[in-house]
Amino acid sequence: MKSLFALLLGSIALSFWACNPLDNYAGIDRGNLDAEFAVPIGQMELKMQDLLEGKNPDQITVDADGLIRLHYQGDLLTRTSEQIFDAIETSLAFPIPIDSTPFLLPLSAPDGLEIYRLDLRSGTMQFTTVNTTGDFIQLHIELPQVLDENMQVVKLDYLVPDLGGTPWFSDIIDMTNYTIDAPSSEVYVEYTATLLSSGDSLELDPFLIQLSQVEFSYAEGYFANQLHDNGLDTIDIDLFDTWLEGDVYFEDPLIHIFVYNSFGVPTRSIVQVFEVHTALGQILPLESPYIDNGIDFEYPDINHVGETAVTHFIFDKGNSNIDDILGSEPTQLVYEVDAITNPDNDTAIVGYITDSSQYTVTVAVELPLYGTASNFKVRDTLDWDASALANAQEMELKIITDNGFPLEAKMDLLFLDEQNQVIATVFDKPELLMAAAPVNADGFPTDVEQTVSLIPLSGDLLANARQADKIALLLSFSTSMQDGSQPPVKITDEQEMNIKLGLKFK
Amino acid sequence: MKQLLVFLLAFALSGQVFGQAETLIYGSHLAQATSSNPAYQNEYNLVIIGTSLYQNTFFTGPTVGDALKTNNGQTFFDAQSFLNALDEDNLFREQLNLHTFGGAVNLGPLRLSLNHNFRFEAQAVYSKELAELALLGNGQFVGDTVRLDHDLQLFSYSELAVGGAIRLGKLQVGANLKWLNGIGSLSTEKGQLSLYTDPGVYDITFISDYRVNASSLASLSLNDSIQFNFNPSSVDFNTLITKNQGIAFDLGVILDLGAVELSASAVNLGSIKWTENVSNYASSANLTYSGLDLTGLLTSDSLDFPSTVDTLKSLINLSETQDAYSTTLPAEYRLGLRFEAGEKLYLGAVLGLQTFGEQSYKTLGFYATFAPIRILNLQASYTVVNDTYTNLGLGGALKLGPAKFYAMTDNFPALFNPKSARHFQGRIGVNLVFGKKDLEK
Repeated sequence: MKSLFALLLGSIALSFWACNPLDNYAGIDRGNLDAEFAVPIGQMELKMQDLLEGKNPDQITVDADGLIRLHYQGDLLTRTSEQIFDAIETSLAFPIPIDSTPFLLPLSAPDGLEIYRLDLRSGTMQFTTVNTTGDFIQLHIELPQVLDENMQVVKLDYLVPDLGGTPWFSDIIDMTNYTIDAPSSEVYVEYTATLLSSGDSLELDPFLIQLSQVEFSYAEGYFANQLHDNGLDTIDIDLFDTWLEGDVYFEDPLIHIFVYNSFGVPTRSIVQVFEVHTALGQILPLESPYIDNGIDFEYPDINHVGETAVTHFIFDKGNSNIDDILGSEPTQLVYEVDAITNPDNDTAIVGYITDSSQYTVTVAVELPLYGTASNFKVRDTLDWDASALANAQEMELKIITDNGFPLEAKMDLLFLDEQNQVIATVFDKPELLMAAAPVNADGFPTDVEQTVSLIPLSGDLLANARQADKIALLLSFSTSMQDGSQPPVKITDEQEMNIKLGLKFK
Repeated sequence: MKQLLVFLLAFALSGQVFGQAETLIYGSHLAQATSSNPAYQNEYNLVIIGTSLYQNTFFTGPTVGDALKTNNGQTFFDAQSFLNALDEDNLFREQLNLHTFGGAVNLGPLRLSLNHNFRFEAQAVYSKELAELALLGNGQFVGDTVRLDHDLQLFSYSELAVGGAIRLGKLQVGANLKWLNGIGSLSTEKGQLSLYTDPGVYDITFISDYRVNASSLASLSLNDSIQFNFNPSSVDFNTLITKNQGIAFDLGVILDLGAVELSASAVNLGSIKWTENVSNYASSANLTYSGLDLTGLLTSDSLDFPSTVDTLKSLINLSETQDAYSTTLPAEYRLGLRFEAGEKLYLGAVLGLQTFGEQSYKTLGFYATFAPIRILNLQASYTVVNDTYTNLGLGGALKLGPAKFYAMTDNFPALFNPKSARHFQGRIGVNLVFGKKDLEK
């Protein structure tokens, strides 16, 4: 800024060129004068609307009344029907000896699984036996519960030659789009075998059926207790990254559980872990009857195959201790929400799965910026270039804030060396930087509050400031006290603050 | 005569009276007197005018003694004393005239002359607030508008003049025609500036209607800093002839009424058009500087102070063009009265008016010329200068053979007490004169 005055002075100085009485002096000694300059440094405008612009709407939303909500989303955990189908398909992947006729193939498992219907997407079937009779064997096979693509019962006829002890294999039967309709969870294989020349009946031994590469597109039945293990997940809450101390109480925090379920099976949550980790290192468990008893997830019944049922469950302060644990400077939400099918073991409920069935669960933390704060301290450290102070003998920084936020802020300024050691402190105690805007009964600000602050820098403090490499700004935020209490306030997208900085220096 | 004197005094005292036009030269009988009235006849038929120097410095406000103090043998600039001595509006005026060569010849009633001069003219008008702002900063002006108006006229030029005068009975008339060649110029065409520092966070409002022209040796630097440059010391013979051309006239008339002689003159009626290395810097702004937009600091990890020069550039909003411009010479007008009080004694008075830019200078001087012997001419004067009435002048010319030496000043007390003077003026030189002419009617 001195250059401006030099510029102005320059015009005059030129006039003295011809017989400048100062020519004999190396420089102008100001003698007994201390020049004082006052210059604006700049201003910053903090508008919530600007801050919100371009933000991911999954992370920040604004209510119709302007209230801002922060959202922290967990991972999307997905389980498909592949796991269940794999179990069935694996159990059928071995040659099955047919040692009687009719021969029973059960579609059930010891854990209670009972399948009443299966639609095949693909797969093959083949029979094998050994003929040592010296004659041809006429073989007729029927699978009454197995229907071909035309919904006809599968019936097969073969003329089995004597191969001298070498196994005979039937044709490979393509089972694509076959249906197994087994209301009693049983599939029968029936056959007759007669000698071609005499017509005498005989039992085939060995006689095997081989199912290969079977893939199902639909299964219907009672699926017993299938566990969806979703694993452990963590949601990071960065709101308190720079927190030092103090309290924040969110008036109405929420935890959302979203379940998207296209399994046609009743399912209930099993909460293995649900806890909040705080900036103080505490681990606070979420407590709720729904944690203990589980949450029943919606499912599409047998009449809504292919649809996805959505369950949106919310933990709030009415059904849990969420306000306590999220009001304690949360930094992480750690959870594992598994799910179990047919939690009530009601075998009367016929369920289904398809090859596209999936179960997806996600957890989100929602923090409406509505609450109170007491000495919520944050600290930020900036690199500090003090070259501009090189010639200053005395300085006074002036800060004028016009605060539309219902938060007051006190500040402290520390000058640090390269090793972050404090070499000077500007204030003896935190100084009010901005007073909070007044609020109405609903917690909305009603006016803008202006605060003027002066920060003097002189003497040892200024000398130390010149030596500093960094400057640390400590801000302590609080909501206002009114009539002895601290009413909750709301942060909205309309709020803004303006901070102007000016400097006087000699 | 009494009425005339009353008129002259009334004219001179009708406002500030500044010492500008020389008093003594007007009654000196020197060939140099033709520079103040080209109608003068030389008293020698042939005059070769040698190198001579004329210097005139005048200022209002603080004196050198106000600005410079001595303490324990150390001289320092006493800014407070300097500021205390400033008027609300202050003036600095400087004239230098280096006569290089010239001569005049009388051919009967006709006088012809040829002269060359290097001239330097400077004038600055500035407010006290401007100086206070420069020396004290704007801290004391928070909440106030500081008037920074100023006027600066600074130029030097080469002048080649041909002149002639003729006596027609009791009337003498004369004229000089001057070809001017500008060497360097710095000139404020408009000089309105003001600065307001808001009491909030010291937002600075800068209002300007400003235009400064520079040519040849003068320039304005806008790179790492903002500063005017004017370097007359770089003048050499390669830079003496430029494309900056101009024409000027001097006109004069003398009416000889026997013991009383009345005279009138108008000199330096002309201008120079500056076309070489011209730069015009203009600012027409009403801008408020509120500092930088520091919103980025909210997300930044460093804190730097803004570039002052960039800030000023944007604030002053200076634009640069290269348009030719003209400067008008400081014209001088004189009315003279000379009375032959005796065989060797003349008494006279001269009323002068000089206009330079928006300034006008008026002077009233009285002089006496006494020639006790043929080779010696003594002069004394009294000049009213800037509300001061103690400006006494002395001068003399001594003729040794053809060489006529002369020296004169309109304020000789300044020589003995320069620290308290505001007017320094003097002329010194030598002429070679041949053939005394009888100037008697």
